[in-house]
Amino acid sequence: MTPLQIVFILVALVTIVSALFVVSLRKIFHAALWLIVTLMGVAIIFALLEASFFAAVQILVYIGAIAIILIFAIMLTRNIMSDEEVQINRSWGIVLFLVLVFTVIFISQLSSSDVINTILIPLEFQGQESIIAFGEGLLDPAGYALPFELASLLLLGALVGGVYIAMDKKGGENK
Amino acid sequence: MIPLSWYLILAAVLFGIGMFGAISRKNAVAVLISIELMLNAVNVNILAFWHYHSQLLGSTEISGLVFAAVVIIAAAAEVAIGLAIIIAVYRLRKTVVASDLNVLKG
Repeated sequence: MTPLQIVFILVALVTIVSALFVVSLRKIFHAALWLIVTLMGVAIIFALLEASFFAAVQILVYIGAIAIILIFAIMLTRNIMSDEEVQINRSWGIVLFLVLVFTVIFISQLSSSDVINTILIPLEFQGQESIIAFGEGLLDPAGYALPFELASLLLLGALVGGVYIAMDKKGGENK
Repeated sequence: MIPLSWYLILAAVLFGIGMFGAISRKNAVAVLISIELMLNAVNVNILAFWHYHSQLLGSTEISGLVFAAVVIIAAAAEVAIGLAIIIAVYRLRKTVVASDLNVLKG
């Protein structure tokens, strides 16, 4: 066991336990707070993978924006579903069984290939080099310039669509 | 130092937990939260294979990074639109319980 492996196991355990809390807690607000712990754990996993840019983006976008917007939505809609009510539907036993079967099949299929036993060693290049290559690839017309522009179009569409859908079309009239 | 399989197993478990939540939760916002968990698991997978390929090539493989970025962008757009829809539905129907939203049911 190298120190890095111990760090990985600790982070993975924290991530998985908090993810279990996210899907099982009755109080949806607490679930959203545990989601932040899960996202933080995934950010540390990204850092362990030497994807430093994505570790930063994970904290900025997921924790800074998505988790906060989810908490806003919970606060806006909270009083309608009381925390004492059962939060999972009647067929959760079947769902749990199917998901367990899926996960077991998935993991057992993984171990049928030799590739996954590869030990990931530290990359030879520095972190900045991969970020520079990533930025140049995104703006290279022969590379990924089109997906990059499409992504900005998608975000613009989401912005306009979100404003349009959430807009009160009856001019502030309630009920 | 860390085998590739550890990352893949972590991602599979996270994906399974997220799938359980997305199917079994009643509250529509909780369903969205579970979908976020699934997307995060996908990103762990993508970046693990990115590291693997970069290690094989000895230089940066940018496709994996672009895929991961697209997943994050799609997640952000999905949450913005999903929450706008949930709040619009809440205003009309006064509920966020997914099984009560059955207007389209025949």
